Amino acid sequence: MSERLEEHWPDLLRFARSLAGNVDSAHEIAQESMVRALARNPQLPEIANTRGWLFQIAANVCREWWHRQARESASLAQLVALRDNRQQMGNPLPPEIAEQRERLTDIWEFIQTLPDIQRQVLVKQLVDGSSHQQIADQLGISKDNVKANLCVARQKLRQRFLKIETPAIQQDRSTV
Amino acid sequence: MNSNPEIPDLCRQGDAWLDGQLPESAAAQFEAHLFQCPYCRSRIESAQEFELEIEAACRLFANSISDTVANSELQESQKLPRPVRSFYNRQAFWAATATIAAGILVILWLAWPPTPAPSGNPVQVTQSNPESQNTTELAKPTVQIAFTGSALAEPAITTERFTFVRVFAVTTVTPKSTASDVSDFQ
Repeated sequence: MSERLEEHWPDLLRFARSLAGNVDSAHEIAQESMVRALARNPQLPEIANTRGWLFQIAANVCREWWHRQARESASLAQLVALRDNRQQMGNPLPPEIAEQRERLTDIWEFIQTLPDIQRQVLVKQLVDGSSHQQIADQLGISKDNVKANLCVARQKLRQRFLKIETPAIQQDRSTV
Repeated sequence: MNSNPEIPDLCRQGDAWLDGQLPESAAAQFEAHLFQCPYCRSRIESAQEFELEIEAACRLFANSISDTVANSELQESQKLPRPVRSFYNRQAFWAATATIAAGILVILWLAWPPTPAPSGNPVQVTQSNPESQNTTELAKPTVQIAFTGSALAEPAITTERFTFVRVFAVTTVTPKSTASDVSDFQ
């Protein structure tokens, strides 16, 4: 059982990094997620999509971790406010965490602006782990249509959020 | 990225490779290129990390796909309010449809070429009953009405149907017609 979970550890760590925005916090979230998953060991044979289940636990852990970070940050801010004799203001989350959370919120808000069919195929694939054929059956469209909509949705997201850099190194090589 | 003229052609295929849209030979060519091109490597790595970020955002903010679908359906219903069709409206719709259908049937029936009306004058033929000759009772003569030129037709039934249809059509299709109009058809 635990071997099935351990094989997802590298992916879980990368996923936790995308949630938290830094490596140290990612380790904390990934470990906590793995502990919770192992605690529910008897349920494991019934779960078809182990990776998705593990990632969902990590997302829940991340939510709680944000709240905890906010509380700790708030208490620290309160101490500073008491020292400076002023009221606590602004976002209680630490800047690095707040920045990553804001980025994820932006991504989700952009997903919400996609056409219905593109949003549905994207979320069904990522959250439910459904195959192209399953999504096609559920939405009553063809498999090719699902693939095309997924491609378009991803391209829109990349164009919006990924920075474009010219291949300077390759240009240098070609000029030499 | 693909619209940037400074990017070589092979480097433009990164998105298609990520989405699995490249044919097998082109995918192999791009993978070979990936070992040599640090730009494409970093680009693919960041795209894969971004893919995880998309998944993270979805898992954090979408409770379940059913919620998402329900939200979209809700938005659709808010955009286009469904017309309220009451029971009375449905009844009126079916009544109108039935009336129109009945009207079409009547018109078709009237337009159908009727059996030719009997021509000639009725002739009364009186024939004595031969069996009654042996009895003491008075024989009742059998009376037949025949039409000259159309002895095999059914004149009475045809005329009645024709008259009935005309009267029905006048009273239903033109409800304002008077009794005198009806008598004209008779």
